[in-house]
Amino acid sequence: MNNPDSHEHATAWPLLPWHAAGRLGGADEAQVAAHVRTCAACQAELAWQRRLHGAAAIDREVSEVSTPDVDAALARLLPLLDEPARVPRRPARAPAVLAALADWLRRAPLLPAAFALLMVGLSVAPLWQRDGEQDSEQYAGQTGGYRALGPVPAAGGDTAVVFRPGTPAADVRRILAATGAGAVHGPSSAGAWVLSIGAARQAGALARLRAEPAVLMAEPLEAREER
Amino acid sequence: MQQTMTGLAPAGNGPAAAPPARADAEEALWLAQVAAGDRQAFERLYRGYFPRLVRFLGRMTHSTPLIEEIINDTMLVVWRRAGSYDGSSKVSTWVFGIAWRKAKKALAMVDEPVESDDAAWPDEQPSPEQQALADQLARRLAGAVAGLPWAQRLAVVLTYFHGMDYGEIAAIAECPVNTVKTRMFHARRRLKQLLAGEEDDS
Repeated sequence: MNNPDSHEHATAWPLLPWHAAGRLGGADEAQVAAHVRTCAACQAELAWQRRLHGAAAIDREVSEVSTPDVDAALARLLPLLDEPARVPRRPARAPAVLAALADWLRRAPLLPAAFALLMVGLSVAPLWQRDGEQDSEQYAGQTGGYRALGPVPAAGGDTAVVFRPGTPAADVRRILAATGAGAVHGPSSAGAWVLSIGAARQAGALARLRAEPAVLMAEPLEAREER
Repeated sequence: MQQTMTGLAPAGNGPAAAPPARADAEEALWLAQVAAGDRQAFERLYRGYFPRLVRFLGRMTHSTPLIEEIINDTMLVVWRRAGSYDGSSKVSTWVFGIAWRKAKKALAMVDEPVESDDAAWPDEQPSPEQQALADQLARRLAGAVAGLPWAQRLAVVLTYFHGMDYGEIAAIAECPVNTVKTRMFHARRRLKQLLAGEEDDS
């Protein structure tokens, strides 16, 4: 049956590359082998496929000459294994935007909490989405995992803090802990944290936060009025 | 470069060696150790996959720093998500799937080929052996692959350069098996056009 229009041929032809490499499973393999025995066109194609596989094998040998250095690459990766998933690893593309935002917010020191967070979220969020591997929990803190900060805590988050991109998680924890905040929420998709520090400690905490090089912005938030 | 890992083809003109089942089981063991936080197991896995991923990603970009970055992004996911590997596919399928997703993002792939790849081969005088017909085809094949749209290129690269079957490719590409077959069908036709003249020497 050397009929190129046959169903057997239409089924076998697409499988020839894997048949040539011996990578077909039982039923496929039996079917293709049986057809090829009686089909000159498939036999010719099979020879061509074997040549392609052979050519690829040669290419493998040649391309191994100039590979990137595995030791250097591994050395760059190893320090990152310690970092917990939530803090973004890669710097945002436009830190200037963050700096400009921080400047603007500094000039308007008391903002309604929700508004301030909205501004931070809208302006900053796109910069953090470059490597959102959606199915990987490591990016939960960066992109999909915290779509919004959520409602402002009823107890009154009174301070917003934004860290420089790439700040190690340990530093974030240390700096936040040093504020003596009673509650910490975040990070938002924009990388913003909202703290409840309390009026008594706030001035001192803000001064200490702003003295930290890793802190891009630390601003008081106007407490939401109880209604 | 260590040769203890799977997937490294033997010298010669045979098809890409499929990783033997024992080696795949070994990788699965290492991955389980990684899930338990074993860094030496992670390093074994890293060193084993590094050359394979270099070959794979080298078909998608020439930028060595970018290749390294994608590999490290991939292996960082392997480190963090080792516990999620459930054995339903080969380890290589799982790792290559992660690498492909990372590559797509890093390269912002639209469905267009990059320009033809003349820089794939080292710039040196071909030796007499390299004049052989098979080598000529190898050179031209590398260039032709670079002329394929991404989806076809993935199927071709994984089939010829990494010895994978259509089931593995479907898992890595996250598409149905029939889609892989269709892409290969069209890719083969395109390759023949790009490699015009080579086939007559069969």
